[in-house]
Parts: sequence; structure tokens; C-alpha cells
Amino acid sequence: MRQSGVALVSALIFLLVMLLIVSANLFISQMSIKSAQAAQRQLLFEQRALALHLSSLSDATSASSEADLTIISRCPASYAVWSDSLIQCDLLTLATSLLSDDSRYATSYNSMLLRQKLVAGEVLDAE
Amino acid sequence: MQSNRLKNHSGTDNKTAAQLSQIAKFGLLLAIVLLSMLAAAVFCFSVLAATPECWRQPAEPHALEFNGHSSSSGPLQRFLHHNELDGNGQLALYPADSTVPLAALNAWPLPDGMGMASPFFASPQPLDSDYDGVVDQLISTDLTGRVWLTEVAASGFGLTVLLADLTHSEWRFIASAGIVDVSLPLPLRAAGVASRHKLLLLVARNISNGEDAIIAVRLQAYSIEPELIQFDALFDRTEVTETERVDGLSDELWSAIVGSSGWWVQLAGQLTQPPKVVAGVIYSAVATSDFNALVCAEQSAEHSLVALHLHSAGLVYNQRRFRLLNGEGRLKLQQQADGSAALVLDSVDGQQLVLADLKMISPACPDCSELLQLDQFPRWLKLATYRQETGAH
Repeated sequence: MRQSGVALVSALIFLLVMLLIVSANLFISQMSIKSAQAAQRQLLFEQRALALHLSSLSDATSASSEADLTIISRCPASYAVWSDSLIQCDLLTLATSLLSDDSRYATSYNSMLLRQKLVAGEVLDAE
Repeated sequence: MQSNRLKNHSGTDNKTAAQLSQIAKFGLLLAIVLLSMLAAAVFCFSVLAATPECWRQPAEPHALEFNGHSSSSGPLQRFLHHNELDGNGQLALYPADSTVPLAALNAWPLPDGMGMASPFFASPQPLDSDYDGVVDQLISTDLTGRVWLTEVAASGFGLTVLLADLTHSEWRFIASAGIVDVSLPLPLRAAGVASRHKLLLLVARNISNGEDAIIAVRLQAYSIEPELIQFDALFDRTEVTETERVDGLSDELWSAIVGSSGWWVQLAGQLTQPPKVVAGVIYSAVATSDFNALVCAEQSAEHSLVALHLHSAGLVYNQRRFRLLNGEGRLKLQQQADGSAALVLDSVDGQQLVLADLKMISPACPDCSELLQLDQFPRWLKLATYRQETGAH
């Protein structure tokens, strides 16, 4: 009677150990899938962040907002140069950032844009 | 006794003769000195006489913005005057709310030591060398054609370097037509010349006939000890040869011009308004009659428009010179209905078309050009996009 009790306990312990091993294996395999997907997810996230930045860029260049522009006193060197009195250059620094839904990833993109604008009053409209 | 007296007498005579000859020598020396002083005075007078008052534009002070004492105080405003002090050129920096100058610059480095500058008819050109939005350098050109680069701050003037000595017996430098930053594309770079440089545009007037010349001086941006540029080093582009007119500017000639210290062109007339640089082309309104060394041209004279390539002074259109009906009004750009650009004379009576379908220079070849479209402005150029990582794990 006592022997059968020991055998039962041993069997139970064995089953418990087996359960632990199997569940650990399952957990580990899930982790590996996650880690395998992580790079892809990060890549997709980077792409989303860049797409957001580029759309913000096109919004900024089409909008007439003057708020974020840094006015620089001279235009950078170029080949087909204009007189300083005719053209004005402004520098726009645009930064966008994106945080993933689970707050695991954060990416920000910065751009420097140059706006060349003819000085008001120097160019007349055709009559 | 008698003979001794005679001897004494003859000795005194000899002394008197020696004194007389010494006086004669000194007198001769004195006369030479006096004559040279007189000649110098006459020369100075002739130089002054050769620069009538109409050659000088009103010396209006420049309002400049400098870095403040601390980053929180914002930019400081100063006024730059190019005065004349006892016939010499002087730069002075005034605070916005005072008539007492903060600093003055009277002594200038010359090829043979420090000295005085001639009067500044051309107003000094402020520069922002580090593109931080405030002025930190000045380019000054005096009447005789010496060009200096001066470090400047809100507190006063710093180091001054002589960049060019364009002194020429025939020419006086009466105005500055601006300074532009140039970057040459790779196929058009000349050997041994930095692709990025500054081009200083000056207006010089001939003292014997009153004609003007446009002078472009190439200032190398990153040279520690710049070589002194002299007038002879400038490429004379007054005449356009028949070969250039028919076949275009050759690569050899382009390299020779771009590789030189600059170019100059006699305009066969007198400038009536400051030249404008529009998309790499210099446009100048020139009076071609009714002027001489003492009298400046007026509106009633005959006028023409001169168009020059900024980098080579070559042809951009099929000719350099176009006739203007009169000299009234200012040259202005006009945007046409199709977006192209035209040059008009804008006066109280209206706008008179001078040149339609303006061109811009193109980097495809030394004398390539394309139609200038004004409807592309405001134009956006993407300089850089970069990713910033923070807290990466």
C-alpha cells in the first residue's frame, strides 16, 4: 500500500516535471517567433515614421505658414546666382517623431529645407 | 703786412664763395623739394578734379545686425558709416541710439605696411560667413581699388586683410554691385580653383573719358593667406570675338576665365542704375551719350541694356547689348502670364518692356542657358533628411 503511494507520488512528480518542460518549450518557441518578427515590425515602423515625415514635408512646403521658418541672411552658394536684393532664402527645420502603439519603439526624422522666394516688390505682375 | 692782409682778404672771399655755393646747393635742394610738393599737390588736385561729385552715390549708413553679448539678449543693431576724414576713407560703427561712434577704422593694411585708404565711394558689403543670420565680416573697396576684408562685431572692428590691390592709373572704383556666393558644378570647375568662392562685383569709372567698367573679382573663401589680386590678373572680356559669337565659348577660354582672379568689361557708356544679377545674368542699364569725365549722363541721353554671363562675361543672348528707348524708370522683373520673366523699365508713366523671355544660365555647358520661369517661386530645396534615434534598445 505504501509502495503504491510512493509510485503514485513519483508519477505525479514526473508528470509535473514533464508539464513544466513542455510549457517552457512552448514559451521559448513563442519568444523566438516574437524575436523573429521584431526586426520586421521595426522595419515596418520605420517605414511608417518616414512616410509620416515625408507627408509632413509636403504639407509644410505647400502651406504658407511662416511660423517655423528660420530666416537666413544670405542664400547658399549656387551656379545661377541672384542678387541679394532680388531673392530671399529661409531655412525650415522640420522634425517628426512616432511612438509605436506598445511604446516599445520611437523614431524621429529631421529635415532641413531651403525656401527661395523672390523679394516682394521686386517682381511686377504682367498688366 | 700788406701781403698778410691780402691773404686774409682772399681767405674771407674763399669762405664767402664756399658759403654761397653751399647756399646754392641747399637752394637747389629746396627748390626740388618745393617743386615735388607742388607736383604732388597738382596730382592730388587732378585726382580730386577727376572725380566729380556726381560720381559719388549718397553715403547712406548701413543698418547691420550683430550677435548680442549673450544668447538671450538677441541681435544688436549698429549703423555702419563710410565717412571721409581729411580726404581719407574711414569706417565707423555707431550704436542705434547715439551719435558717438563705438569704433572707427582709419589705418588699413597696404602692400607696403599700414596706411590710409582713399575715400569709400562704394558702400562696404556686409557678409555672414557662417550663415548664422548676423553680420561678421565686411568687404570694403576704396576709390583707388584696394579691397579689404574686415572682421566686425557689435563691439567694433577686428582683423583687416588686404585681398586685392586693383590700383590702375585710368580707373576709379565708384560703386559696388554686390557680392554673391558661387558654387561651380563639377564639369565646369577649372583646375586649381576652389569650386566655391565669392564673386565681388565692382563698378569702375575711367578718369579720362567717364566710361564705366564692370569688374568681377573672385575671392577664394577658404584661403588662409590669400594671394594679392592685381588689376593685370583680371581677364579682359571687353571684346567678344567672332569665333565666340558664332561657335560659343570654348572650354579652353572658359577654363582660362574661371581659373583667373576675375574679369572686367568696359561698357562703352555710363551706368545709370546698379546692375542686377538675375539667375546668373548681369543686367546693366547704360547711358551711351551725353557724358564725359566731368559730366555724368542724364535721362535724356541714349541708353542701352547690357546682359553678361556672371561667370564668364560672355553672351547669354545672341548679343550683349539691347537698345533702351529712354533712361526713365528703374529696371524691374516682370512675371508674364505664362510664368516666364521679362525685364521692364518701371516709371511713373508705366512699364515699358525691355527684354522678354529672360534666360537663366545652365550648368550643362559653359554658355548653356534655359528659359527662366518665375512661377516656380517660392522654390523648395531639400537640403538633408536624417533619422534621429533616442532611447534605442
